[in-house]
Amino acid sequence: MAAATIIDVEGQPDHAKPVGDDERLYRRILPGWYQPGKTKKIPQKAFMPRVWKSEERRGDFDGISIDRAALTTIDAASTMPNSGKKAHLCEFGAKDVRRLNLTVQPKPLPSNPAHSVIPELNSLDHRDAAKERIMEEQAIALRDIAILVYEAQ
Amino acid sequence: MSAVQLEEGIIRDDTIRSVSVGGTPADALVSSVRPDVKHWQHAIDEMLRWKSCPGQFGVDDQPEEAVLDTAIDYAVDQIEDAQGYPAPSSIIPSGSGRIAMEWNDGSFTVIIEFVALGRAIYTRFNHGKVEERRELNRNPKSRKLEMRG
Repeated sequence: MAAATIIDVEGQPDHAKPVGDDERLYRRILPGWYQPGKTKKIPQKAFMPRVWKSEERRGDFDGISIDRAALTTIDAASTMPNSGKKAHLCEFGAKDVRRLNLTVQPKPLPSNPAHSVIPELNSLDHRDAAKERIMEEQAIALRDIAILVYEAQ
Repeated sequence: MSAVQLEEGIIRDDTIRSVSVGGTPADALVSSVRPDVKHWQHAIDEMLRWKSCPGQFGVDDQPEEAVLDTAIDYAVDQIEDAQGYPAPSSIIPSGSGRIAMEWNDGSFTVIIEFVALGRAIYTRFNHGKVEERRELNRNPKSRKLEMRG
């Protein structure tokens, strides 16, 4: 796979620079139960935002989290930040995301400079039936283009 | 009444049944020789593990106990019923305390997301488009999850 290009914006650190079309992105998938003997298909819900439950539990209100592959490793990206346990990891291209009328926004964290979000897939729009339907379909499309790159044991 | 052929069985869109078994071990309920029963059993075992070992997921993703109970009840019902539905392709915590079961067959994807005690959302996709989306609620008389509307 060709090395991804981080768009060079003068004076900005890499993690704050816009995401290039040829960048690869990672998304963690919680380990769950998969029927043995079947091809492991990435669940659609892996690309849906956590829902808004209350002011204290706002879900993914600013979009679902992803990591920029150029700024992290599979090992780091597949590790759940709170528990340190491993999750499955899938990969897809920034260009593919944009083809679905979605965007990728860098949102670096002190503990994870690679952190970014897809802001259109968020818990606020999840409360609107029409927008939710669009998100559901975008999530199906995303899972269809995503490739599993790491399988947690 | 429409029906969708899915995997080796049928996911019907009329009634999604559920029973309350009050902690009865899943193994003791097996009375069918349907080949996918063992998959349902494994899925139930996994969900029981999520219930007995909370903390393996982050606080935002840990399934709520009431949601787990509803999903387990639903799974047990599929084992008990000779016409029960095939085991799903996957079951994952879908965040905010929820659990999602997903079936895939050709262009079809069916998802039942368990969202609260006795409540779930059924969504059927065909070629990536939402074809049907309905809420399932436990009928207090039949104690089954049934579609509304």
